[in-house]
Amino acid sequence: MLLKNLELYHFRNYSEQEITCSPSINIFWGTNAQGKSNLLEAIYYLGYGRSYRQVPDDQVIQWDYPGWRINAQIVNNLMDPIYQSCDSLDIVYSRETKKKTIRLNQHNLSKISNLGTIFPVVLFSPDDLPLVKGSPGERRYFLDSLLNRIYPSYYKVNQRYQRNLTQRNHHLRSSKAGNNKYLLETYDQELSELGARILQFRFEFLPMLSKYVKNFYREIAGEKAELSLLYLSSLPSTAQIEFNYGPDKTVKAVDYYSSLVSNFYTTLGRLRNTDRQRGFTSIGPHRDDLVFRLANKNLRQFGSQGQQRSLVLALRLSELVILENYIARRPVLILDDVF
Amino acid sequence: MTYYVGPVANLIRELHKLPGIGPKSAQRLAFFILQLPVAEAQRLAEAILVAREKISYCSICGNLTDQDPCSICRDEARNPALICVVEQARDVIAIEKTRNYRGRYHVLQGALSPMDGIGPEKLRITELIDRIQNGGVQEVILGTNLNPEGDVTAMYLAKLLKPSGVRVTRLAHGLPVGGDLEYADELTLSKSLEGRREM
Repeated sequence: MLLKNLELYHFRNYSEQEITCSPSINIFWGTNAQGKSNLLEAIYYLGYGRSYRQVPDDQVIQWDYPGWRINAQIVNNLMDPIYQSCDSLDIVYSRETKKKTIRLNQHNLSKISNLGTIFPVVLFSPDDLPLVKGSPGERRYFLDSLLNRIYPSYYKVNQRYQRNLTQRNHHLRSSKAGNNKYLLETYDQELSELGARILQFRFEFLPMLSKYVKNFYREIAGEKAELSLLYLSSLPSTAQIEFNYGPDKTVKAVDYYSSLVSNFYTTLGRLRNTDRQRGFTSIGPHRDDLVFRLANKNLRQFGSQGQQRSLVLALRLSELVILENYIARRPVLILDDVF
Repeated sequence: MTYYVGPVANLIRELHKLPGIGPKSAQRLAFFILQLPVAEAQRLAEAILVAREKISYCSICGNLTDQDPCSICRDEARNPALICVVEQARDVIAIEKTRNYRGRYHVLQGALSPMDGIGPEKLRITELIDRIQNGGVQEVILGTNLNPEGDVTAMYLAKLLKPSGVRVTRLAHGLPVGGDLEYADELTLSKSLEGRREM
């Protein structure tokens, strides 16, 4: 994937700016508050349709202007010697209509998520540290968004799981939850089937992630101790699974599925009273976490700032390679303030 | 609304309350109605009133009807041993259009959704169980929607009806007629693999 040309109109501090990129590595340097990160933000927009700084679209408009526009000439096939066959990718936002339009070669894109395969982008920024230091939700989000892009059906299964989870939690909190055993059982059954499918996807994928993260971490940090990746499951019998890459160690997903379902279902049943008191579902893939250990120390709590940054970078580089394997395009890597 | 004189504003406001009718459509409909001959407008108003007054729910199946019991429940030619459970009255119409089904119906008037405050007590489930306990029913077809709420409702009913000994079936999930395998998503495909049939 290559960004050949970038034009910004009224985006952040840029009123009108055209940038032509070199076909390999591009470095932007300058003093503070010149707009280096804003430029990277615009590139991120091309890949995700939103800002990585978690701000709404109307907050990236240059002061007092009615909207912004990003136009990019992107090249898909790097092997193309003439380097001519560009696609034009446009994102236009208008404050008045509050609408964001994304166009590829002048055709409107129906789904923003399609950008993920049109112009894949992986970002590493200083704001990324919560991925290692933050709550388990941050790491689940990383895992889920990667899985969504690799397996389209993962998204559907997860969406259905979340829906049933919300319904179950509402039911737990309602006063009638106590006298309807069947309804709770029904939710348990749905959740355990969908949840087992989610776990199956994750378990199939994690050995690969583990392999890459370990290698990248070793290269970046240059430490002797080996990094290990553990999946911390809220289900009792799969409480901690260490993922090592190799044909013998990958979990055989097929025969695993039914045991996951029954494990999940019985545990939900056992915790029914606890769940009722708490008003939410205390186990399931929505409560799981990834743990990174170095010499038996959890890097989340005991890692140094440098180790944590190295790990985030290793995770992002793994994301890049995995995406490249699956969508057969090398994503654009954005490194913000990496030194 | 200050642009309109009182009665016009009223009409627009009432039309705007209908589902799928935005402010623009409401305005267009209102102006259309205002151009109608008085007799025509009268007929429209009466049609609304009469429908609202005469139509009620069938005491047996919960379908919309102008006579109680409804025409389907009164129809002797229909198999009383077969009941198809659906969420809404409009689902009855969808199945009737196939002209393939000769059993009776039971309209739940919704699907289980605790987040919207719809528990089993808000649906016509007790009525369904009464119908089955009164005897004569051999099979219940669960025809609720195939979304998470519909599926949960079906599973819940299946659990509830199991002790009664009637045969409980669910409408098939899977590939649409005329569908291509390559366009089916994994969830649909795996559902249709689970529900495969001997040929």
